[in-house]
Amino acid sequence: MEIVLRATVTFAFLLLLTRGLRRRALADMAPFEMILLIVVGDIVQQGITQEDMSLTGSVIAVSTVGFWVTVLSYLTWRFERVAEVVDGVPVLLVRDGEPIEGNLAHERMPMSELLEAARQQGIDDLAKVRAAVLEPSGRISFIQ
Amino acid sequence: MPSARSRPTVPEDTSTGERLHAWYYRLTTALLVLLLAVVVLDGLSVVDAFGVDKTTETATADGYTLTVTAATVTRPALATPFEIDVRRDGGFTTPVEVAIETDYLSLFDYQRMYPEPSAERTAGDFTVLEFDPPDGDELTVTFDWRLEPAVQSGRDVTVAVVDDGRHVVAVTRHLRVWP
Repeated sequence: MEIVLRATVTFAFLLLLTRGLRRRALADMAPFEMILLIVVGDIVQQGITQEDMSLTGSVIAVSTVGFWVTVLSYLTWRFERVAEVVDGVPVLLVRDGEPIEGNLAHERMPMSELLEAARQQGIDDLAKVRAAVLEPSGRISFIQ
Repeated sequence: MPSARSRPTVPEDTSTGERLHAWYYRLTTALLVLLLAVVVLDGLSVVDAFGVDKTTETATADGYTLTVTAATVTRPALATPFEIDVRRDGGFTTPVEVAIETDYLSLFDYQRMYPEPSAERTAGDFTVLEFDPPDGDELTVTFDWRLEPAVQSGRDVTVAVVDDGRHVVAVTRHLRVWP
């Protein structure tokens, strides 16, 4: 039972943490962001299973995480408001060729990153972009 | 250059795959819910499932009352409860000897006992622990130990009070181990 509780708390914490990260961190990781991904797994394992070295304990811990993933996926499908809270909402970064500085600052996205994403889409000038949207997944959609 | 063979990317009929996928999804969800329900019920002591759970058994004979509190379910590397209580009306005038099956003791990574025995010896399949006579009518021995990480299955154990070389009262317990 303790494993279920610890896995649940850890899942909720990681959910809050990943929602609090820059979205681009989820899509294309900078080296310092990748460090978080590498160390979180090992640190979290100790907090969940502690001294339990049994296969049973591992199955229970992973099943708990799988359970909450299933619950959240259902709730985000069933209730749009939940999806907005859990997954986030699209954010407009460019409108009619003009970057929206406030949104870029809110997402902590440097202009260089926006320009890089545009180049990857074959766009050589932001002035040609009618809209650029930062998706909940962290990817940027360009509409010309 | 010869023209390439047509390779449609959209499958014509996905109904079989969709049915299998839906069935598999429902089965996985049901198994997850069932497993966690059992774990929660185990935590609330409604069922005795994954451990660590313990019970107490008592036997009385020849003026001795032997009570053994032992784990019924445990998992590798976890602290596992084990306590022996020996009571004799009128108290003890000689050292108290308790016999425990040696194979059971070998399952555990032993830290210490409270109190520590004053002597130990083997007698056949048993390890006999000798304790100084306690004040009063009761001797309680608590074991601080963890199941060895490599242990993957449980076993029975017989605990007995030894008086004049013979087992005067005994309790048998079973330990179940989840891998």
